[in-house]
Amino acid sequence: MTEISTETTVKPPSVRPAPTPSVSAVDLIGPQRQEPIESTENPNVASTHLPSERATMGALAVIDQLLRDRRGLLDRIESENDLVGIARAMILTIIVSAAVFGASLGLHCGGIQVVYALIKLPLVILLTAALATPALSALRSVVEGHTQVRRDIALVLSSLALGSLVIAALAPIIMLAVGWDVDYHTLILLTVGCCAVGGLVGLSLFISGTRETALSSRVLILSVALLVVGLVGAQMTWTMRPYLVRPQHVEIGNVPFLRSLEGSFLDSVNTSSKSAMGIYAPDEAPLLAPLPELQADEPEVRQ
Amino acid sequence: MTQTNCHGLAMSILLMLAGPAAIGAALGLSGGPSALITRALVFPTIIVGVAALMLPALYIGAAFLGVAPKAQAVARSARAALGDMGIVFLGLAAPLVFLVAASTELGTVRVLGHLIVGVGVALGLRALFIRLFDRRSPRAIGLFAGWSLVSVGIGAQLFARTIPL
Repeated sequence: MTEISTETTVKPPSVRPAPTPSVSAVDLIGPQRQEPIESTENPNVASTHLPSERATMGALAVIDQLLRDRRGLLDRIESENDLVGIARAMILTIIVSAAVFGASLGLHCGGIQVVYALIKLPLVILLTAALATPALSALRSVVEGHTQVRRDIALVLSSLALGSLVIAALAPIIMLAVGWDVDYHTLILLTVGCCAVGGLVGLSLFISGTRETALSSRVLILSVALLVVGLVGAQMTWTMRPYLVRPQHVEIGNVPFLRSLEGSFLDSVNTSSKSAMGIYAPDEAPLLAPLPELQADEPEVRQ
Repeated sequence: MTQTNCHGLAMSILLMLAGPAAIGAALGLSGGPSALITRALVFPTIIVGVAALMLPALYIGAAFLGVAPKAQAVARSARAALGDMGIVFLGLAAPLVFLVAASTELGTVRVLGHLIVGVGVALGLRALFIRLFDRRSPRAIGLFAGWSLVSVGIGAQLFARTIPL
């Protein structure tokens, strides 16, 4: 019987990409050194490309990892490997992806509204992140007992970037609906559906990013974080409206960049809830038509 | 006391006061500059005052039940827990300022204020319990739950009277 040498055994190929070499002395301002930025794809690329081209390829590599190897990306964030590069790539992703979705929403009204919505939607996402991330970081610091602000920023931006990529991928559905002249309210529901899908996908990444935390602490952190992001995001979206523009405003030609602040989102929910229970403010009570018998009894006052 | 301990103590006191002051200022936004300053001063005073009033009772009760740590440990834990509460309040201050500034109805400000204060206080109490009681015995849990209810009740009364929303 011949012996099978173990040296001839074929080892399965590695399915995970090679880890990115860590960058020492990460600077929040940005790399000031002249050393070439190392790429995950080809170590020899750095010597033949301009710094701007190398930065773009680095950002694309991060986005590629966000889509195809989220576990690897989370490991990089946990080990604080090039957090500045990750954050830059994610911000760029949010801006471009949200702008694409915003532009598709603006197509409903057309004209300048395409530009307005293209500008506003990335602002909504980034400003919400700016307000909510300190709360999240403070929360994790208190619950987990250690502070890692840059890691938290990278995780939040990565989650939002993934959600933004999803809504950008769903933008053609909005464009198709606009092309079919779908009515305003149906378009609103479609938009909410697309954003809900994007939000859930981004949330899944965020939940995965807290996998190292104990379950009870994780539930606490996620509950409070969702509450804060939900409230701030809803209000920020409300403040920056309109995106689709009501049909009557389109007819008049009155397309503002921002609508006047008519109270907050929560004020509106509160008012609607009271109205649903029949409690109206005096200036918001529905007008009643006069009764026919009262009209017949009115004395003639004009001569 | 070493320099490191002094620095740590100063940082704890700063966080203990700055967080509630930021929340108080946010809640006073709609009332003008005087309300802003008044509430920024009153809210930290309520937090620290209630803690100072109630902590001896907690220590005495825990001692009677046989679950009390040393008095110095209680003081250190309280200081750290108040610092944690301050950190949470500091983190929540920016969202609260944004939400209050965007709101035109006092009812909404009231709900938001109570919600944010409630979250901060709950997390501060959690931090205190974790630091004080290594073994989560039923006696410790029962004592702390009762003590928390009374402390929150007193604090809520003071809050409602001095920071009307």
